[in-house]
Amino acid sequence: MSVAGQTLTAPPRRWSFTRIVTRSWTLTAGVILVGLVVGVAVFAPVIAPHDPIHQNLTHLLQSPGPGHRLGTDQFGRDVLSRILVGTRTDLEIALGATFLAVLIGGSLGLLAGYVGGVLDTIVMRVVDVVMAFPFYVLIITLVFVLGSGLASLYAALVGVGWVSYARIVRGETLIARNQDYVVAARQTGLSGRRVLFRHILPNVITQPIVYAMSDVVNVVLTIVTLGFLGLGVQPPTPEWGSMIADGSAFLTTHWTLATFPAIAVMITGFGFSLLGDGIAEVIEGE
Amino acid sequence: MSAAAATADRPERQVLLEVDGLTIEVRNRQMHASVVRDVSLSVGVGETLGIVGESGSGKSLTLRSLLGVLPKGTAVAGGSISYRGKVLVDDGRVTDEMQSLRGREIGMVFQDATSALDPVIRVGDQITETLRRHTGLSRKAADARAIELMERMGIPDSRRRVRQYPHEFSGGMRQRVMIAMAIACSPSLLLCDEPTTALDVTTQTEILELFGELRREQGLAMIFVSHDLGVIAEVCERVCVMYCGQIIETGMRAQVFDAPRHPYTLGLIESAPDIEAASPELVAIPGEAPDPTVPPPGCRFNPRCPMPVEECRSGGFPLIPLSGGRATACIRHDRTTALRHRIDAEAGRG
Amino acid sequence: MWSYVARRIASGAIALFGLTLVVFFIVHLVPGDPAVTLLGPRATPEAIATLHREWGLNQPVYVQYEKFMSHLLHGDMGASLFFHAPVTSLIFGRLPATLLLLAYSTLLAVLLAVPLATISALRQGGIIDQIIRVVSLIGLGAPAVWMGLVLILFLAVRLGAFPVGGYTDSTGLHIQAMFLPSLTVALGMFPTLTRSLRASLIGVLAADYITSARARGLSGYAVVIRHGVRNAIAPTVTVLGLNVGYLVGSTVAVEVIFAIPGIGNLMVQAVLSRDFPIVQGVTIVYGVLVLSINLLTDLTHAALDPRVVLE
Repeated sequence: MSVAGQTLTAPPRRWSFTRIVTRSWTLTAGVILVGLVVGVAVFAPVIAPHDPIHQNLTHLLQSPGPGHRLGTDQFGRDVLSRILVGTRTDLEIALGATFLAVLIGGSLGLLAGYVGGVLDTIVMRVVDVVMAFPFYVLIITLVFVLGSGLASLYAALVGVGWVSYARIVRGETLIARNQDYVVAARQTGLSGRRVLFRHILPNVITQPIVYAMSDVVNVVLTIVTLGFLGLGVQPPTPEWGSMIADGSAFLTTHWTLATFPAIAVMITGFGFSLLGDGIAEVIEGE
Repeated sequence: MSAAAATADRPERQVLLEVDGLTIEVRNRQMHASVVRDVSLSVGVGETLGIVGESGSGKSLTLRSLLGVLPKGTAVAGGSISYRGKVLVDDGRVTDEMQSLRGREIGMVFQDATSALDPVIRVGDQITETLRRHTGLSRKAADARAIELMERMGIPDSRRRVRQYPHEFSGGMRQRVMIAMAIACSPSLLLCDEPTTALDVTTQTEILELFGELRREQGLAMIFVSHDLGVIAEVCERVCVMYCGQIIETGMRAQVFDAPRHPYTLGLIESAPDIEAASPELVAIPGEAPDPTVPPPGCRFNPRCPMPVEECRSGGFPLIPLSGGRATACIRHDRTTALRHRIDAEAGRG
Repeated sequence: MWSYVARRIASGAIALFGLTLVVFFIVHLVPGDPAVTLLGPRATPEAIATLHREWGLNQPVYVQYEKFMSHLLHGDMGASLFFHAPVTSLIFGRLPATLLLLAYSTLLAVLLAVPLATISALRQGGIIDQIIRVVSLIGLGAPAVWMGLVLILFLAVRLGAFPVGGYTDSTGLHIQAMFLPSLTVALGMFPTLTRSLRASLIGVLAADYITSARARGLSGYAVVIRHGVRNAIAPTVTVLGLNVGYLVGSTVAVEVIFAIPGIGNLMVQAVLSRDFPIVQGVTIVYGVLVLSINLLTDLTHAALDPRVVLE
């Protein structure tokens, strides 16, 4: 279509808010749920009605009631406050570790795919070794060696988590590298670095992000399981996994102690899964 | 007067399949519209009917509706189909009779044998499963018959190859396997959806010869759908031309191809590359076929027609019966011959 | 096929070798005395001295590694600091329980996932499909540890249908005793499995060979099961293989909850009591396990899909 010599192209489709919402209910639900969880994590110290660590020995093992909305545990600590603050604990580590894993893994994968050669071989061999082992087992071993505590937990999660992203991004980079627009850009003399950032990076970013959403769920579960086993975040910091472990001793009498934190985990997991599915839906729709 | 009645000029002709006023709709979240409208045709015993048209004309959908295997989201919305007097589709509703005919009385051959054969099951087993479904043959008897069928379809070394998987065959051989599957239970009618389109020219010829043999030896009736005029011309006795979801011309093959009575048919013929033509120019029909769910008002071809008049832009255009058992939807059909001469002259042809 | 198996074993051996390197050297990479790293902050000077002596920690690192590897290749993984017994016998004594748990859970997961995914795919968009999908999504986020506890509470304690502990001596009771723990692991696997099988099946059901089967008059069962599920299963086996690492790992927590004498339980105990030889040994054994399961999955996939060429 041409008007007075100028070629007109259709305007690019605008990403209006309403379009995204109606496009994928999954995405909307996911965003709301995750937003809720993140909000709780951020504002936890403010909204928690009691101090999560404070032990009130006169109010042991109370059922949910007016003073303590979700009851108290065997040390008299308010369950609701512990869950709220625990959100911060678990989410911070999960998101932090995932972010670092994406950053490190993604960068290595990008370089490996783009530069190729020896770097590629080394990175991929390391990835193969790490991937040959059960996720949990490696984490547990690393936690053992590095000692318990926050730093080693991060180190273990990132140390094992980066490999998936390296593999994904490397694969995407290999594909993108051979696409016409990249070859064209190189031929017009753009330096390697510019091509990498302007052309390849935007296109390889989507897959790892979608994967990261479902990965966050796994990381949260790992932190919770480690906490349950006593290998993760140490008491008295409130953490959902150790709360479930504490509650397991009172399963027959006070099943809520173990269940409420589990529900918190499930809500978080559900939210991120919806988010991941929603993003995938929207991307595929394009 | 329906097209079926119009072609009943040979009283001894025994009708096998009759379709009357068939309408097919697309039904999904976005829309609810007809893609095939008011199609009527018939096939007699041992006859070959060709349905020719561009992609999007609705010819494949029409064929599929005869066996009730329309893709998801499309459905028969009106009309009737009957086979040897048994009603398969009654006023838009599919009856139970159809299931009893599938594979037994009516067989179907698809365009792409690669995707139409199950990749994880041995070829022989795919043939025998059809046999054992419809006949009481024992395992051994069915296996023997499968080997025999493959041999008749021209697949060498069939005793060994019957145990192979589809991906171990070449394209032409796969097509032969599919045909073997379709005729395994000796149906009287074979529906062919572009069976040679995916093949190279040499293989195409072989397969068409195979079809010819089947017709002669078994008296098999066929409905042959294709966009390739050459293929239709070679195989079919009678032809229906479809455009934008409707039939716009029918008749005996020689009549329709030698002296078309619809500008679209003329356009199709003219645009078919002719190696022997004096001038190698290609004449294309300008514009594009419209979306059948949002057709132009009046005659659907009129935006692209070289000779439209005011009346063409409104009203319905039922098939007008002509002499010799032909029919056309064009109200100016008598001008078509003159149009043809004009085009030939312009293209520098004799 | 055997040359493929041989090649896989060879590359697996290389990966294992890499892991022994990691496992061995990580102790030395951590700043400070390796003995202290291993024994933890509460180590007594005598314990540290003993470890130094037993492991020859004053010798050059590569000598230590060589000693370690030569022991390993002879089937000697050292002695447990806590149990005072050879690590090898401890591990292999407990391996059968873990293997049973793995096999049983895979079976249960498949038995759960296949029907649900099939119904879901056939009634795509319908209410049952939506319910199954939502349940799967929720299941993805459900902590296995808690699921195990719930099952114990309702089925073992309240209902009395199954024992609380996981393992007994006689084979017959094993099936019953191991049901709950295997179910717990299966419930952890089943959302991923169902989702992938459903997606695979939906793709398959839209394929031409399904239409061809219907056009030949085949019955619904033949079409969906024989042609549909059969084609959809192969890529799902691959997905199963990709998740094997996660599957095996989830058995660790389940073994602890249900007190199953498996290698996962052993490992956790060892970590808590800082018994490094066991941690090291179990990690290596898990590595072999995962590699074997990966090989098995690939071979199964090849068996199911004749188009696959093993290379």
